[in-house]
Amino acid sequence: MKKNACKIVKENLRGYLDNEISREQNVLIQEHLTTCVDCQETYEAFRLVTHTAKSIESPDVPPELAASIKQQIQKARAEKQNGFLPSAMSMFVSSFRLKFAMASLAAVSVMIIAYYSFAFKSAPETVSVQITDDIVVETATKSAVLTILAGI
Amino acid sequence: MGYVFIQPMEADELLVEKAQQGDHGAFEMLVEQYTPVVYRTTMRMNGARHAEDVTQEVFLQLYRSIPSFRRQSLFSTWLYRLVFNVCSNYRRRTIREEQKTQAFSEQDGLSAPTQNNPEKSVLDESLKQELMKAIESLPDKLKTVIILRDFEELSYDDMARVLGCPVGTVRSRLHNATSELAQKLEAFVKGEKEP
Repeated sequence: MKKNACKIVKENLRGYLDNEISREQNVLIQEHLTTCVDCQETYEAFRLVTHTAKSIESPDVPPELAASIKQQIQKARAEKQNGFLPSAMSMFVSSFRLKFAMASLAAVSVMIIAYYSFAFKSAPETVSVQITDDIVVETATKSAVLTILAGI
Repeated sequence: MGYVFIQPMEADELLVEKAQQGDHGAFEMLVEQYTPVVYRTTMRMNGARHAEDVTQEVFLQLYRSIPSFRRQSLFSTWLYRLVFNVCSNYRRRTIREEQKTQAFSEQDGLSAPTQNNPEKSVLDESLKQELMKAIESLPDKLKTVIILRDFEELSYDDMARVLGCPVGTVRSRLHNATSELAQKLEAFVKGEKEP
């Protein structure tokens, strides 16, 4: 029974010190503390913590801090007002993935152009194909290629 | 010592409203007004060396996010939440590595400044330093309640609003934090008394 009372008192000691418990609880704890040495010790240990904490001075705020913050805010505001579009564009362009994709596309385009340039230069103007002894079909290979390309 | 930060300050709410409408002067007044409390809190959360940087980051984030503040709670409550979020993110980002190598609180000025005030110099300076070190070593959830209660002197109700948890949780966290600190101070006092 006493153990249970001690447990309840100890759990509420911090609230007791902070005056954050009900009046009834306050009276109960006060009465308990007059008779229970163990709880008195805990109370003193808790009081040492709160008392010491309250005796610690607030740190001095650097005098130039608020001014420095205001400067940072002004800078952020200026960037927001003037630099939004360029910065968005720069983010867009600087994207590694985009750069990689653009480089790949450019490389493939160059290869296709080089291939067909070579094919056009080396290809004969016409090709003759003998179907039978007296039928020969002559076709313009360049136009054939162009037709194929147009189809693609 | 801290002052009671959370109270219905109509002037503040008016400043916030103006700042939300794009009044730069109003925002700068908020900066002036809240720099001390933000600085103190960041210093106690993350250490003196980082306090200025973190304070600046808090206000930059405040500048970006103030339009989205719905004024369903007090501005100060909302700001405290922002401060704790920024502190936590900043620490994750930059301080963890430092903590592994050295306890920054020791060389950081986290400990209480010495003052020649006879009324307040009754307590041993070393006890204060020990307490600050012990607070520094607490997990964030426990450290936060100690800072809000013992340094900023918030009521339990206000703490619950800031932390977004029931008052009962505030009570139990405060109990656990105080219990842990008491054990550390007790061990320190015993160690000091022994020859």
